[in-house]
Amino acid sequence: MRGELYNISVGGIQKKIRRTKCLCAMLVAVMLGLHVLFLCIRTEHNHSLMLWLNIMADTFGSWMLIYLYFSRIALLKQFYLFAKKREYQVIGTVEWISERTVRYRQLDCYEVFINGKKYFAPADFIKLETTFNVKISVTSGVIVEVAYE
Amino acid sequence: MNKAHLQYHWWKYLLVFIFSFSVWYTVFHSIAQPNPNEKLNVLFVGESLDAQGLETEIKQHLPDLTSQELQQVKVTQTYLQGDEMFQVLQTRFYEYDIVIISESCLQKNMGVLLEQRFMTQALCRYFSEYMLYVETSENGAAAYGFLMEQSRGLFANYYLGKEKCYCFPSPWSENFGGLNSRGEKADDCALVIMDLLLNGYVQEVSEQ
Repeated sequence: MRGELYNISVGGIQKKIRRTKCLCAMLVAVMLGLHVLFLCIRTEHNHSLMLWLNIMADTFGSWMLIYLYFSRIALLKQFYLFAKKREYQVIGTVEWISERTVRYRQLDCYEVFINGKKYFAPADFIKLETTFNVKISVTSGVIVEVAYE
Repeated sequence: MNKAHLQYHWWKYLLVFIFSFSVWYTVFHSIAQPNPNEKLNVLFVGESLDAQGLETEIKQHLPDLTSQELQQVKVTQTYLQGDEMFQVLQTRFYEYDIVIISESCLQKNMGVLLEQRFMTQALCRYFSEYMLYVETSENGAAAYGFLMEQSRGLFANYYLGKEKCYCFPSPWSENFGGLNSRGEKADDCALVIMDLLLNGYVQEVSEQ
């Protein structure tokens, strides 16, 4: 089956958020451990080296946290809010899908035309192709679920 | 990592690096500072002192006079008067072990400046042959420093001015061999240097 939602269940989204948060906590623990280690083994001779190792550990750790939060947790949370609501359903044929994504309601979405009307398909969660007959669930113009007719 | 993520969040990555760098730099800079008993700071407030020459000579003499290991020995000269001198010393006196002030810069409020922490009996006894700098307040007279003789001591060799100078041992210093009720007996670099500045030679520390 093509054109499916990567993770269709609301429970699945929550599980994914929990798993990513756990990963973040582990990352923070590793960062703290590294800081303590570098501070403990610091001497007059390796002072500059330890300074840079601390900066690097902090920077790379924080970069990973930013990536995990903004490209996973925040997106999942946002999509979760839409997926929970499911305002209405539409049945029709996918007529056109944009090649580039646009930012819509803090999600990167493909613009999709179904029955002459524009909807937004979150690029990280929904995969659609043209000419398929679909039944979609929509919240505020965002496609949150796809089923094939 | 998709392009859109970097497009929207690049500044957060940059900010994190700058923040991390500044925080760790500050932390490492502060822990790299020597402990109070690993440094000797002398401040001269006035004109006509060869501070560099005095610092070099102190560094030469120190290893022979004390077993205390020092990471930093510094003689600083500044010229401040009136309120400016008062404000700077009030906030920074504790950073120095010995402060020497020439007469024109001296104000009659050293007691306030030193938070009424006058010299201990032990210090007064150790330098008993010198004229004390005394201030009288509601609580009575208290000694805060000594008058430096212009023809005697290491200081006289490097001081080219004509004014009288007064030498104040810092009550916060941990380098007076315990004579000012702070620090260990072995940490006596400020004591021997003050002796050298006043006397030109170092006296034996008598059991107090």
